[in-house]
Amino acid sequence: MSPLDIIRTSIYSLTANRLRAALALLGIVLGVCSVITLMSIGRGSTDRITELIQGLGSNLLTVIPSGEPLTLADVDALRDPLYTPSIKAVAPQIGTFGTIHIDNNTTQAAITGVTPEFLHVRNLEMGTGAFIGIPHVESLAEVVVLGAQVSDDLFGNQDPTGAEVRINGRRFRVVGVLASQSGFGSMDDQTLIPITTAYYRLSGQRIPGGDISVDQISIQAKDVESVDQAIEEIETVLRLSHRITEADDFTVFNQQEILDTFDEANQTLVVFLGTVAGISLLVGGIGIMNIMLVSVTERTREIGIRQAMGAKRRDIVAQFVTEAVFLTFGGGIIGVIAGLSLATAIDGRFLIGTEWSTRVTSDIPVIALIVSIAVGLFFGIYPAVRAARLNPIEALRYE
Amino acid sequence: MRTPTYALQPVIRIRDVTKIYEMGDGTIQVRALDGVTLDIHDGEYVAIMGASGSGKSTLMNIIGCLDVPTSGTYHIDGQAVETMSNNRLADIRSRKVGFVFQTHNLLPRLTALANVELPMMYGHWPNRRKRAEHALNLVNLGDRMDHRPTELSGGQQQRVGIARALVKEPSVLLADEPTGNLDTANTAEILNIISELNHQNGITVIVVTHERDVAARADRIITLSDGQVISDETKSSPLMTKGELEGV
Repeated sequence: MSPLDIIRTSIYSLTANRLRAALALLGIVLGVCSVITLMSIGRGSTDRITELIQGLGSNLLTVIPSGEPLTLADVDALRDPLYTPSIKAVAPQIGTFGTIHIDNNTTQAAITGVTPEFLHVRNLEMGTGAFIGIPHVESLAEVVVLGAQVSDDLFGNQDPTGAEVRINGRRFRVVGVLASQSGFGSMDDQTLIPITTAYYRLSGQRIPGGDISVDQISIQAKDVESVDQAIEEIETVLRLSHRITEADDFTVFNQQEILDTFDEANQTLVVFLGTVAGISLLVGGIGIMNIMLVSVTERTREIGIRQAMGAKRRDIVAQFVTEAVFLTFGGGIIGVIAGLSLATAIDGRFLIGTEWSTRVTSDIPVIALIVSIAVGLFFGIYPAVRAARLNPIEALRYE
Repeated sequence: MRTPTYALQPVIRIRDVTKIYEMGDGTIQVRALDGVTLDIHDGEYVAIMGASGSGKSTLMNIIGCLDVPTSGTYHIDGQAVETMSNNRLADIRSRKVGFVFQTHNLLPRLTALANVELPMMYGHWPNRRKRAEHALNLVNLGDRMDHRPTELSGGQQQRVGIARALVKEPSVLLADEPTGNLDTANTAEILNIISELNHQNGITVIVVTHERDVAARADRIITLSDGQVISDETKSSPLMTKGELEGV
């Protein structure tokens, strides 16, 4: 039998029972579609994490207390270039929550007390107005910089610079709005005020000695190469100022490490989802085998006729395997189209509480199609061999 | 369509063929054929008769290379079949044997023409369409080529079956109860076509039947009973068959 004859014969057979062929196809469509979508999501989130590393700068370090509080005195010590030559900038933060309202517009927001360094350390840009300055920090000024989303919630499209808002009942003057950012770690829903104001006016906590305790210190190393050196310097300075002899009462996070952890978790998730998608493809393949076995039984007589007409075993095998591969390849193509459409459709959308980002690369559909053909070959071979093993005399007598 | 070869070698040469079927788990043996010896020559029109269970179907399966004998030898066109693999048997079927079945056994969704082309597909034949058209013309179905089996009468369906069998120019046209499902008029029509193919085109025909009037159209009637040949009669005819020539 020539390849053209095999293809023609398979099409003849598949069109005999279109509904059944379509249902068998559906399993493969769903399997391939989910594989494509999940792989695109995996690629997309990996991209986003990489983007984030580049955006935040891989020279960002974070210190959090794990025992004794960190204070502004610690911050000052860390700022001393004599002890910390590898550090470029130090930005302490106090985090709290509060209610912000103007007139009858109210919104809940995370409120962070910061110093002017925060803008550079976190790579932020101003949308309108100015950031918090040193005089604001020194004078406990009641000024606020709004995240883009907060500004939008309270003022809509208006420029809020100069307007007054109330935070937990206190009057604050809006001095600026941050430019909108997308992605993980976005400051859009944040409200920034001077760190001293946050401590004395909003937090309500006090520590002995009259110093200001901070929740977290973001530190920018001079460059990526000096990150390790900077960590050592931070540890030395804090151990000295905290008079530590045994275990540290603080923890230093390397931004790269945090993102590596995220990436790892992401990869695990992608592998897990990929496995689930793979299983659905497998189930689709079993569906194909099931249909093919039914088809072999139903067409016993046809097989007998073909054998009497001189069909060899390999002709029969070729015919049935080709039918199975047609089903899975057809399902694969539809699945690829569906998967790519779905991946494109959800890209950048905010659904089920997450912003989805997907990246479609040309290798994904190629792999999916090769896999779907392989599924057809694998699950088609057994029914095909059963068909070819039929005894022509009995097959011809089959009712 | 066949140029008669006047070689003395018979088309079908069966020597002491026995076929034993094992039933159940091998405890019961059924001797379907028991030492059958016979020669069929090019151009003969032979009927094989016998009651059901006489072994005529088994003999037909062996002649048609669908099955191989348990013992004995069988040559078709000089080729020994009994030792052939499944693939070689399929090959012999595709080149040497044209089957006509009791039920027409056409593929329902193919046109008459495509059904006739089918056996040539497995033999890698060139000019399939032209040959199929020619074969359909031979059975007077030139105007029904694009019809599907369901659009044809029983007799027409069987004629498509005959066209399909003879399109490969087989060594032997093997018909198993070809009129078993047909009414009198259609039976006559099919038998006329078979006779015509034998007389005018020189095609060797073997008809397996249990009906006397069907067998009566043949030149030679072989009767089987209990797996053995109990009679082998050749009708006297003005022209001697090659078998008779050989005997002279």
